Amino acid sequence: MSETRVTASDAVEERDNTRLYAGVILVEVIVVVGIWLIQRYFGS
Amino acid sequence: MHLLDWAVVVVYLVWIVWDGLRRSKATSEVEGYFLANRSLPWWAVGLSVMATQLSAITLVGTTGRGYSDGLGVVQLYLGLPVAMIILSVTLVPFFYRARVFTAYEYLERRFDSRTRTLASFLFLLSRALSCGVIIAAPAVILSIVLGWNLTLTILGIGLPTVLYTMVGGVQAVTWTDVKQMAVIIAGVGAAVAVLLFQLPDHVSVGEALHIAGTTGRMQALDFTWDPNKTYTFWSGLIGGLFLMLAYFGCDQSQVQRYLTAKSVDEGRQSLMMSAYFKIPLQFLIPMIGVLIFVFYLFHQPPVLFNRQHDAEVRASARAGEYLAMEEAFTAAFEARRDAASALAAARRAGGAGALGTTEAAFREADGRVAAVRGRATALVRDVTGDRAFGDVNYVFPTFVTERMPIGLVGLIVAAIFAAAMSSIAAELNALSTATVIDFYRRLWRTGASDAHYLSVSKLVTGFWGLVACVVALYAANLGPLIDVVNRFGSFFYGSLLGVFMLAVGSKRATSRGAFWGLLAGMAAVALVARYSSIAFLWLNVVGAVAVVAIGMVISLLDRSSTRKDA
Repeated sequence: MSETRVTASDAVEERDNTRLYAGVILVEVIVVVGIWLIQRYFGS
Repeated sequence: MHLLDWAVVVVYLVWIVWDGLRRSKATSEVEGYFLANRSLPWWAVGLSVMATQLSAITLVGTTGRGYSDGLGVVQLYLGLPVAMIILSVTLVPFFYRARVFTAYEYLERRFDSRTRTLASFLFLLSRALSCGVIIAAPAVILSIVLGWNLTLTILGIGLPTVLYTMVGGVQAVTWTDVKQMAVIIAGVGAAVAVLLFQLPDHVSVGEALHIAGTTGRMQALDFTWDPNKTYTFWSGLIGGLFLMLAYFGCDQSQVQRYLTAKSVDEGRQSLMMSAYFKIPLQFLIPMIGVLIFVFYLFHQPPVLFNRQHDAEVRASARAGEYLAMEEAFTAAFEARRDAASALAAARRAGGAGALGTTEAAFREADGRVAAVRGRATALVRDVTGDRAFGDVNYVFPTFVTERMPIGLVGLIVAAIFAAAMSSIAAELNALSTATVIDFYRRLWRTGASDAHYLSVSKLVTGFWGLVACVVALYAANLGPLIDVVNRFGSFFYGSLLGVFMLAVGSKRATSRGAFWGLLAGMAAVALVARYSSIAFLWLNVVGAVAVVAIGMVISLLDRSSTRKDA
């Protein structure tokens, strides 16, 4: 995924944020699964 | 409160006000005052974004919900990480490229001035009211729990915030937010530590959580598909996604946070901080409530945590009934305490049969305690006529003031102040920006000097601070008004998101389609809210979808009539 970057000086650069976003999704999945496991373990 | 606790609160207030005031040196022009000349680092902006969202209502109300219902409230935030990614790819670069001060400024460039005016007006109306509620809600609770004067408590939260926001602008807001977030995290950490240390010797942390789980309080995720339930996995993931898109993408109090970042990428990174940490933080806060529930299994709580009407009920004709309830509560508490100890012992010993029996006995004992509390609440409502009476929001402050060690009480009261002040400051700053940029500079006084607009911006910040304090003084005496304000927010959030979806997502959308689509979307939300019992999170979806659908139909009709005319 390629996006436009606009700096303070209006210079336009390309920066790939795919890994950043994939990392967020991965962490969310891990956190939600973790919460579900806690619920399963302690939920009596 | 002990003198040491007072000292902690006073030191916190002086520190924050001093830190905010010294930021005035960096605010000699309008862009510096409102956007810090787009110079702030991503981590400071990210903490400011989190501090703005985490108000005192969240801190106190969510712990109370954890105590009464468990961890389910965390589901509200399940859509947040995806919302942050969508915003980073769509609206954030649009706002940066357009070099706007307000989100609504972008609507004029894409559509027309009336759509911008309407959107900005809706923001001003709802945020001015909610700003008052954000001051009033913790002030009411602290004044009742600590016996403080309500008016002085409102002014104690409101005036220092107005002062540093007015003088220091967005620089003051952001850098005090960073410190306030640290105070909040320290307070939350201290509460968790004290709760864990105060567990009885014969109950481990694991056993305590198992006991809470027996009552359903450890159920964080509810996968049932019921649109009338407020917090489910699906309402959080889908409804929450729309709510977070609207809040972080269309609400000036959040948009202005990340517009202060050095670059579009630093703006994105600031949002990613919430994407990573918000769900764990919002899991931890109701967990405090669950731990308070466990704590009060072994230490007797008051029958009702909200003692606002205590004296009135004891002086009423039904005082004897109330005293009998207190005695019944003590007996029910003792039975539940013994049942909880037996349950912990059964867990250690193992054996499914004995465990099942002790679990059933504990649930029954917990039910008896809840029944007495329910009867006591009904009695207070009958005697006082206060139909909105409840005590969920009083659980955490009561625990803090009665059970926390000296010094830490002050820290947590300071954390409640910090949570309220950080949200108020961001909102005052955003209210001032929208007023000056979207109305004053555009409609009333065009072409004046930067120094003039800077002076007006500071005066307008002070004006909105005054309005917020006045609203807070009224809201404090009108409990249900808080619900009205919260509901009002959900009426316009989804619709506003729909307009931005039209702006960014479709080249065919016309200004007429956007304007009438926005009005129709709000009408659709009002109708759905009036004639169905759908949970409020879904209203954001209804609003956004209605605006996009109606807006596109009007736009297509608009274009076809334009072509015919041509």
